[in-house]
Amino acid sequence: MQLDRTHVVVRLRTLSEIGDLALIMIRRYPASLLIGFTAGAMVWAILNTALLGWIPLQEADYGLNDEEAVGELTRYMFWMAVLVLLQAPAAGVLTTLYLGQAVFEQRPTWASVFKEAKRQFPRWFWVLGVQRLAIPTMILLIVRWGEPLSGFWDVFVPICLLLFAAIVRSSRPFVPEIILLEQCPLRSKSDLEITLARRSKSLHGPMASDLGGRFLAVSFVLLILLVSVLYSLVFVRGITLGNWRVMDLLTLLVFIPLALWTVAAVSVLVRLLNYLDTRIRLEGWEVELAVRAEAMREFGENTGLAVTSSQSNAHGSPARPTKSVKASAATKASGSTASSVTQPVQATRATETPK
Amino acid sequence: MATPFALDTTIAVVTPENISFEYQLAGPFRRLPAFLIDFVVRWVVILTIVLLIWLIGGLISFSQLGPYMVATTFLVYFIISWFYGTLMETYFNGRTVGKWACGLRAIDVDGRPISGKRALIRNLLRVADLMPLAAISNVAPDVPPVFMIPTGMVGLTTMICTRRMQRLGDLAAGTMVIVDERSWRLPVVKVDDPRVPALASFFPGDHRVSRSMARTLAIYAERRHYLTPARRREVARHLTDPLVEKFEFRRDIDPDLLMYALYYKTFLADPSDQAPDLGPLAGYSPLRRDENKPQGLALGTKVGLQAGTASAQTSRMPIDPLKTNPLKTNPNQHSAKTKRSASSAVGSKQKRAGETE
Repeated sequence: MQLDRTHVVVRLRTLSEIGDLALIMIRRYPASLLIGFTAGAMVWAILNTALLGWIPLQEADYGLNDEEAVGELTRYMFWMAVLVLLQAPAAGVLTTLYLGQAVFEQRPTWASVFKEAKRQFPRWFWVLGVQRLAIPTMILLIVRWGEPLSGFWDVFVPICLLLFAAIVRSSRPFVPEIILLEQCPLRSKSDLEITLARRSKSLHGPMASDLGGRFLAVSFVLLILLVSVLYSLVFVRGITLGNWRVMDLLTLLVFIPLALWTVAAVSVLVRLLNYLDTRIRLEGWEVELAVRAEAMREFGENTGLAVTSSQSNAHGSPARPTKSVKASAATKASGSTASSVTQPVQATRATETPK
Repeated sequence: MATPFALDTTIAVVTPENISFEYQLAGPFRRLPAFLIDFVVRWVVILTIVLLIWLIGGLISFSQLGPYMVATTFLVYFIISWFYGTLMETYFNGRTVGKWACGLRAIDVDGRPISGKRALIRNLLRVADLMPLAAISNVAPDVPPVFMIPTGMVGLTTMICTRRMQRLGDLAAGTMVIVDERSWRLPVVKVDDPRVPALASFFPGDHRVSRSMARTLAIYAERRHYLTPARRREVARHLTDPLVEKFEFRRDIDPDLLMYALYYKTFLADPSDQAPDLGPLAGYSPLRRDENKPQGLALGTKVGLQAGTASAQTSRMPIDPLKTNPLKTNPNQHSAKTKRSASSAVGSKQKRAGETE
């Protein structure tokens, strides 16, 4: 194994380069991205339609073009956008796992990806589904099912949710990667173990302003992309079927969610590449891979994987003393492959939590 | 380093002269700022010329020249809108103002400069790449269908589907857009820490590093300044631990410094040079076999070379550190970087001491 022979070149990139690289990854893994994100988002999309679909269907009985319908349809579109925004990280779990492995392995198997997602289900569902308010919002919409438009519940509350999502996403964007790829525990009794909160602080803290700027730039581009994708769908239908109506049931129930989920898929991809770039900038990840690969070439396979007892963790804080052999064995025993994108942190963690 | 087919925004081009170049491709996100700059420049030029025409025409005779001025306005708009890119790219080596500002250049797929014909084709087809055009009248029927907003989905889709990230115009003209300002050579890092040549002199003279090792050392030396001292040691240790064993250095030597010294020996030290002037470090030996020799420790330079603790230092040094430590005795000789490394080394040793308790 050669850690520096990755399938995605690990080097410093600007944000625009990350965007271009995302397109190259779409070209290289089109079917995988489609399958992975569709499988992850399908359940959420069906639930969203069940929760909000009654609004356009009810309005269609009275005519979608009358002025009274505008308020209800705006309510539908706004809530749909908020839901997809909140659900996107959870829906992108399979994609994140697949691409995280694809950095090192050209074609990871879907069986391994599904198995890994299932194994980690309680962790990611709790953080990405519950703590990030995707599930509570859906419960709120169940309670509000069939209710008329309300200024507080349908304007104030979703705006608050939108702001919450924006603040959380801009300040802690890489929590899905920390949970899924680095596999940090959610909590621990040991002060030395790298929990999700500690890792998140160490990864996001030093780059807070940079991440905020990147969030704004990416959001702006994704918003433009959303409008472009939506209009392109309407355009294709207009060209092929001669139906140029913008507000009809097909647009509301299919095109708008489809455009939203398409952009959500791109956002997951860009976030993952941004995560790699952040680790490169902050931790010199590409340097570590190169050094470890060279150590393995010069001094044998186990050298680069071994973690010495004095090695500090990702925070630079002291690690618990264990033998390097034990670390290597623990890493293998935990089922994580050394070729995973998370390997450096996993190996470190293995030293700190001897089993 | 990566696999030969690793994903990146680069492409290798072999010219007809059989010269190989590696270019970094500019995709839609890199081109977007250049496009917006060109859009602004085009309209500034159009408005300036039209204003001048109307000013001159108004001064001469507005009633007589009015129809000609309107016609000229449309003509100017047409010519600049459609041929600004063509003229600029033909006469400025594949660059427009936007591309120049963003460090981009259009070249043909063989790596040669773009010709006028190719520039014309790729610019004429830009309108196709900007399709579909969204008409505001679709949403607001009262608005006349003159305000069209390009979505650019055709160009975006084409760029995703092509290896060189070409839009339709590029495909038709056989061109691509590359990043023009990028040095692919790793810069030589200046070593201003006096401990580095001193430590480098302890590597065996016949030790030769492989090409991949040399590249790894160059990457490390270039990037180490961006990493915290703790992280440097963490990264360097993967390679220096076996090196310490191989060359029998003392085990408490600072991994970062050892790595840096190997870089120095590989890239900067000249074998024909005389032994470096070690100054206050003269007589010090980082080798394990000299660990117990009083001469090595007497100079007190272990503070600089090792990841040592203050407590260990005071307990093992027989001579007053204020007189023997080169960081204290001659502070002007050492840079701030040296002091920083020394203090971080102390912190590291403290940490290590805590771990072993």
